[in-house]
Formats: sequence, C-alpha cells, structure tokens
Amino acid sequence: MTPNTSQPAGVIHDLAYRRYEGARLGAATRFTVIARYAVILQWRLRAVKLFLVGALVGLAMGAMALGFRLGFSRIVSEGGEGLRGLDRGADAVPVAYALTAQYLPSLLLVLVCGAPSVAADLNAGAFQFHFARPVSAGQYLAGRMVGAVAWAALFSYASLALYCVERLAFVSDVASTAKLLAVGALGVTARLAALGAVALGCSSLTRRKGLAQAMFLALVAGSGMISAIMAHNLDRPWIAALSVMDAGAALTDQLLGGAHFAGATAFAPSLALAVWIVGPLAVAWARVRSAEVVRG
Amino acid sequence: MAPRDPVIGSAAVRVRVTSLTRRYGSVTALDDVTLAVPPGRTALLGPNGSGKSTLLKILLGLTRATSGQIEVLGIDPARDPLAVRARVGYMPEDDAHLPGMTAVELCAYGAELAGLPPREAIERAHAALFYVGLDDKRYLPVEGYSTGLKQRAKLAAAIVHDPDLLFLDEPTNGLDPASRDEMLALVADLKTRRGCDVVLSTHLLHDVERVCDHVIVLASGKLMADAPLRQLLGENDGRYTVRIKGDPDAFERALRARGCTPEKALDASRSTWLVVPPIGARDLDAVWQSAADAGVQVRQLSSRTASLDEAFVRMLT
Repeated sequence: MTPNTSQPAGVIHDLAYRRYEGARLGAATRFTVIARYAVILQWRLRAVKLFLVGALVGLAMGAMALGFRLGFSRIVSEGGEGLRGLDRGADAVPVAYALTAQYLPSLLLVLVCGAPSVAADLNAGAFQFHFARPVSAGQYLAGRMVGAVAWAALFSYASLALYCVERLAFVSDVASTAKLLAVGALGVTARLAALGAVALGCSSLTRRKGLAQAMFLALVAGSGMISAIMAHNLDRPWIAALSVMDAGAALTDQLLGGAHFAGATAFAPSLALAVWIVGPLAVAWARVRSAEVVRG
Repeated sequence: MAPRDPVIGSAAVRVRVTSLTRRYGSVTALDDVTLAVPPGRTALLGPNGSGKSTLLKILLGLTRATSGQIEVLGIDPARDPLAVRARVGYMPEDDAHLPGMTAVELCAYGAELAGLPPREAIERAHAALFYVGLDDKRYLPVEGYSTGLKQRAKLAAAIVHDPDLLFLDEPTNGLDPASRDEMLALVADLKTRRGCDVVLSTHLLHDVERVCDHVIVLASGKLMADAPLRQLLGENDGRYTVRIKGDPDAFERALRARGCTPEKALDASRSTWLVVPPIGARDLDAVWQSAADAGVQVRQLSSRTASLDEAFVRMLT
C-alpha cells in the first residue's frame, strides 16, 4: 500500500487570503478586550437592562431627595447659628446619598454580570479559548474583574458625579465639592473592587452559574447581616464597616469625618477591604492557574 | 526509532525538542524525548497516556518541562509563553466557546486577544468563517451549533490571527464522513494556501494517512518514531503480497512445506492474495518454487508496504 497523497475532497472558500503583516497590539490591552466583550454580552441580558432602568429610577429619586436636603441645608445655614446644629454632616450628604442609591443596583448588577462569569467560562471551555492565546492568568482576571463591575461602575460614578454637580448648584463651593467627589470616587471604587473580587472568587469555585450567584449573594448579604447584628448587639457601630458592601462606605465616612460608623478609624474598613479584595482574588487566581487548557 | 539528526539541526524546523523530560511526582509523562517538527503537516500519534497532551501543554507554554530544551518557532515557551501563543493556533478537542457569543464574535474576540486591531479582527473573523464554510451561520450563537459546525468554528477561531503553526487536537472527532472529508480538506489546505504548518494530534490513523507527511509517535512518554510518513509506510518488513490463479490451498501447503506460514485474504474482486512473511535470503525463489509445486500461476508479486495501522501497532509492541 502506498500513502494517499491526493488532497481529500471538500469545498474550500477563500476570500483572496492575504497574510496579516501589520502591527499587533501589546499585551497590556488584553484585559480591555476581555472586559469589552464581556460588557457587550452582558448588555444582551434582560436582567441587566431591567436593573439599569431600576437604577436610573432610583438615581432620579435620590437626586430629588438630595435637592430637598440641600435646600433645607441652605435654609438652615441662612437661619443663623441657632439652627446650624440641626444639619450636622450636611457636607458629606451627596456622597452618602450616592453610596446609598448605588447599594442595591450595584449588588444586583454584579450578581448578574460578575458572579457567573468565571463559572460560565469553566463550563463552556472558555479557559481553553483564552489561555491557548497570548493571555496570562492576571490579564484574564483583570478583564473579568472590570467586566464584572462595568455596568455597576457606570451607574455608580454617574450617580456620584450627578449628586456632586447638584451640590455645586446649591453650595457653589468648587474645592469642597471636588474633595467630596474624589473621596466618594475612592469609596465607590473600593466597594466595586470588593464586589468584583468576591464575585470572581465565588465564580471560580464552580461550573454552575446559579451556585456561583448563590455563594456571592450569601457572602455579601451574610457579611452585611452578621456585621450589622454584631455592631448592634455589642454596641460597636464600627463592626458594621467590615462587611463587603459597607467597607467602602465606611472608608469614605471616616475620611469625611462622618459619624455613621462611630468608633471606627479608616484602618478598620481599609483592612476589611484588603481582605475582601485580596482573598477572593487569590482563590480565583489559584483556580485559574490550575485549570486544564489542554485536556487529556 | 531514533530521531533523525539532520531534521533536528535544520533551521526550517518549526518545533525542536531536545531531551525533554516532564515528571508529575513519581509519574514520568515524557521521558527524554527528542524530536523535530518540520514544515508541513505533522501527525502526533500515541495511545491515551502516551504524553501527547503533556507535550502540547509544554509547547504552548502552559506547563514547564522538568528538564530539556524546547523551541517553538525559535522561541522558548518556558521563557516567553505569550510570544509563542501569539504565533501559534490551538484547536482543542473539547468545546471551547464563550456562552452567548456568535461565531463571528468568537473569532473576532480570538483575533483581538492575539493582538489584532478591532477592525482587522472583525474582517479576518468573517474571512476565516467563510474559509471553513460557516458563511451563512456565523451570526448564530456557537452553543447552538451541531458538532460539525462547532468543529468548524473552533478551526476558524484557531486560524483567525494568522498563526505560523497550528496545533489541532482531534479535529475530526464526532464528525460524519462528509464533514470529516471537508475538515481534512481544510487541514490539508492550510499549508498549501495559507502557509500554516500543522501538528495534528489524533487517534485516527486514516486521517493521518490522508493529510500528514510526517509522523511522530509517542508511547508511555517515550518517542517511538519521528519520521516522514512515506518512510514509515515504506519500511518493508520483508513480506510480499502474491496474487495467484489456481488453488490457493495447494500454494499455501507448498509454502508451508518450505517453512513459511502465509496469510490469506480475498480482495474485492474475489482474487486470492497471500501475504508471505520473510523466509530467508532466497525469498523469491521459494515463492516461485512453491507456485510451481502447487501448479498455480503467479499473477502479481510485490513487496508489501505496511499500512499506518500496522506500522503503529508494530512500533507499540
């Protein structure tokens, strides 16, 4: 027998193939590609559109409430020294309103977009797709992290900016508003980072999207409830600053001299944030690194 | 079979592996393997557990060798795995897609991950899908595809960034005969039209015979063969194929009388063929003499070339 050297039959279409000789983009852009495609796919989810509409309604209602609050502050400030004590902490109001308005929409958007992301990749063999290409585990996780919180971030930063602009309309103090915006942005970023990291950590532990979402919800809501109960029972409000959702808010509260988390310093929420961000990301990193790309 | 040094030393070699050993604890997955993948279409053969997957992982820079030197397209994958993966394509055996993505998005995504600008990526995604025959289904989500369409989508995603070298892991798995033919045609065409060298990891020896021109065989982590296909098939083991006219039983008895036990087979035209094993320095004399003794006419006598199946089994036993 001699080898069959003839080409197998089959129809081949080729659109005047030409070799790509152009420049290739650097490795630093990989995570942006992963995040961009994740956001495109998330936009197709009905839940994302629904939560975004709900978030916008909440944002508008928050803006109205903030308008009344800032108007009241102006009346108080014009009413003389005797009334000023009624409006303690009014400076930080836009940030507090923004963080409160973002609470539920951020949680829901990350629950829908972030918590299933790695689990879905594990289930569909997307690890093989990514890591057979010039993508490192760090780039992959960075891309998934940004993708997990992108919609929540869009809404969160928009609400913070809107409320700060609204404050500017009442107070006309650019410097203090800019400071509020910067500190508020830090708090928003910290909360989103914690949410994204916890979402990826939970997601990397299973192939089942529903289970990943349940774990995420249990961890976020559970940490919030337990810390709130302990703070109340032990009469130590700062313990509430240790939960996933409240650590970022507590950080801004401390930096702006608020009294919501009495007894806390910026150290406690910072430490809590570090734990909530680094811990789950380390888990996700280990899981991603150990994933089988070439099976056999 | 010892590897051929001239190939290993050649500058055109796409993959060069020297004294590669990979151990997982006490298990040796690859044991002092030295091989070279020349330009063209190379088959990577071996039974389950032979070390094929481990070799692919090392070549893609996904795991490190315990010892030895590796070069893929002149790059050490242990030092710069991302540079290797930017220039090679890999089509996995299992499903590898992203949920919700259409084929065109999947391919464009793969191209962008390999560093192509977005506009170029989308153009090449369309071209790659057209090339593999998915032109009319490219806007449908990949998870809804049949096995054959998924294989095509995976191939398109593997070639969309214009790799110099393509690793294909069981590309015809689960395909019906027509789809298999078309997939093999594409594999054969990749080198011809696109200049893309191919390493085909498969269990299907017929696929190898149809499209490959070089074969690497691994078994239990050791290299059993690294040679051109023609050389493997052409290695005559001393047997002859004889077609006769007359009584095959009488011819068989005459051969047996000379210490030779032939194998008997009928071909499609019902002619009797006998495969005669080596019977010494004067093989042909024995065949002629036996034919004369049995009163049969020898219609055809040829040196027998092994099929790849036979060559493969011979190497493993």
